Amino acid sequence: MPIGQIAFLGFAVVSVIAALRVVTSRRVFHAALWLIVAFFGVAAVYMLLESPFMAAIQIFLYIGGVAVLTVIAIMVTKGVMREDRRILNRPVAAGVVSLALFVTMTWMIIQLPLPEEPVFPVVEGSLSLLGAALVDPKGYLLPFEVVSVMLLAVLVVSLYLGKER
Amino acid sequence: MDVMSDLWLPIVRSLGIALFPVVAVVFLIWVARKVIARMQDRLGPTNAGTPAGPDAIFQTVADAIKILTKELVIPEGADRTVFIAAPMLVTAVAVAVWAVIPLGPGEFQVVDLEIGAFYVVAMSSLAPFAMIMAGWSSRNKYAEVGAFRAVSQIIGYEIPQTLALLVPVLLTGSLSLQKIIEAQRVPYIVLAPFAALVYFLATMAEVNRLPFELAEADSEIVAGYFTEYSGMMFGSFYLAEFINNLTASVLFSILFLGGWRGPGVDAVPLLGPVWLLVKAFLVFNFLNVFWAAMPRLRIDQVLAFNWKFLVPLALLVLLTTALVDKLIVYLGYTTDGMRAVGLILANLVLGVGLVGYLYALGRRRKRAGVSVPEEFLPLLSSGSHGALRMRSADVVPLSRHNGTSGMRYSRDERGKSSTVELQANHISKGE
Amino acid sequence: MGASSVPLAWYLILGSALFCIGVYGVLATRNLVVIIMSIELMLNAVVLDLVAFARFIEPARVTGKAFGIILYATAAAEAALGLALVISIWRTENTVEVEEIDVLKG
Repeated sequence: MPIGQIAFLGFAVVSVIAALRVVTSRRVFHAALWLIVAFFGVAAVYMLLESPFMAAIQIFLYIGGVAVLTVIAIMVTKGVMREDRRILNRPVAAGVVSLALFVTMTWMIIQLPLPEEPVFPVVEGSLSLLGAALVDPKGYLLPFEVVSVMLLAVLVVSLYLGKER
Repeated sequence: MDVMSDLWLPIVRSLGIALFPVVAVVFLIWVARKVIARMQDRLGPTNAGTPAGPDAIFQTVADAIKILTKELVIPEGADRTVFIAAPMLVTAVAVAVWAVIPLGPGEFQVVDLEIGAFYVVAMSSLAPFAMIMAGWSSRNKYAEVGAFRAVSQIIGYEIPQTLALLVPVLLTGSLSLQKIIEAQRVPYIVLAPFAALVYFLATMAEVNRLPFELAEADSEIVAGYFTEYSGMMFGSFYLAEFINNLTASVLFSILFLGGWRGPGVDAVPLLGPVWLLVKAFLVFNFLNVFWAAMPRLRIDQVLAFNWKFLVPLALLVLLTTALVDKLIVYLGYTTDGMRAVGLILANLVLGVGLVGYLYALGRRRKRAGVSVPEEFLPLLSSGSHGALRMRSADVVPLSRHNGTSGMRYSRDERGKSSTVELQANHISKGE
Repeated sequence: MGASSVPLAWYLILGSALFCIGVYGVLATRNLVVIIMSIELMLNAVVLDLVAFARFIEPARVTGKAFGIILYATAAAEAALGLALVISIWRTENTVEVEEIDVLKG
């Protein structure tokens, strides 16, 4: 088996197990830590997809940003104190729904004639192409600007929501 | 096997570069303690040395032996797995940055990632996580408070650090650290001094160096987020902190001082690491000088300095550099020299504007008299009756006294003082 | 390196697995913060699929990554807002269990 497939399987298994532990941990703090492991797994898969930029963004934004926020929220809401209650709510029904979803999607994926190898070879300097596309008026400039306005709006609203009354 | 002979050199190189900061830190801790001590008019460590050589050169080794033989105490209510994982994570993150640091031209690097500078930013953003893990799993109020403060400081200062780091990236046109060094025929500290200033200040806060040492302030919150750690776990935090200091100095030299560039590198590639280490050592001692000379800032001063001063300044510097760079090319001056002249002029204008702004701000504060942070107002007036009346001109703004808590009194220039009643809305609600 | 020997289908299956685990988390957990974490997991899976498609099908691999970046920014903003809401709810209701937050109910 080629080493790429072994590496991918390893990272995939780590990610899936970590994601499962996120939703089944008894302590919320541990769930946040498992989330970080899952994010690391996905970042490793991005590296396998030859996008180190997306991997770095994953680590910087998700782990260094979202996960830190989540843990701070957990610390503020003292999530770990509630571990005496059952942490799951109707697990069987939810499990059936998500399993059915997974089976359906996998079946659809297998049916499709998807390529085994990349159709086009790796392009040098794809990072600068990405940057150019993001600020190109014929490219993705509009979503880029909309996202910056949205981030500003979210910043203001979060500050307002977080203020002590 | 064919693969092994191919991999042998990269593996050795990776191990060497990964071990280098750990070994260098042993020497650097000694240097730091000696320099700080001499600046503070004392001797520093004097035992554990050799008879002929410098004082206490084996001090760090002795400290390490002591730390290694201590018992690892884990508090009873603590979360064992997380408690033990936190120092491992912090050391791993500190060493992980060294994967992209170019020690010399060509092959002196583990890997020259296309996104080198961004990888550095990503790895250093993992640091607050280890702090939260340490603070939370200790189940100790002081540790939690320390962790919160440290995290809010670090994630706050990541922003001006990243923005200032974008200026050399902008001037080079690439995120790769090796290319940034190769493009510095003129060191970027000349072309973008304010970016260097912002980066230096932000990095000082990121590595928890005085005056931003709140997270580990011995006299304030015991030892902050690593209160409950003992033995080698504490040693890991200490080691990781000094590795971070070394990494920060090396990165500053790479981004702004020219990295491994220096006379003679073309002929003898081995001089590359030597030059880099000399520059990094200079920056490191600069950090030590700050440690020795400045008192500690309070957390609200730290955060106010970041959000109200550094972030706008970083944005302004980035914007100005981008505009001026494009303007120079647009106007037709494409040579290196003209670019340097244009950028220096722009930075001069920025500097004059900055100094003018700070001067006007200082004058405005002095004229207004009182500049007390909100949370001290309850100390000054008890309830809506305002029993304590303060002389406005007597209260000197706290920001001028660099972190000493409490207030000092002085007369204003005209020798007069006027009384004013301090009223704050949230106090008169009777809380 | 044999990284290009992993078929696209495998990446998509990994993405759908993470997505479905996220769905399970949203449906089955009581704790509001864990629900937000599961939503982040789902968004992450979507971006993974996008980048995988971009690598296999696109010549310059730009569209998938650009879309992914914009989605990342949106996801981070939404997480920040959601957590600010959680903290706000905690201050008033003193709980973060979804069963108990029923101010808008009936």
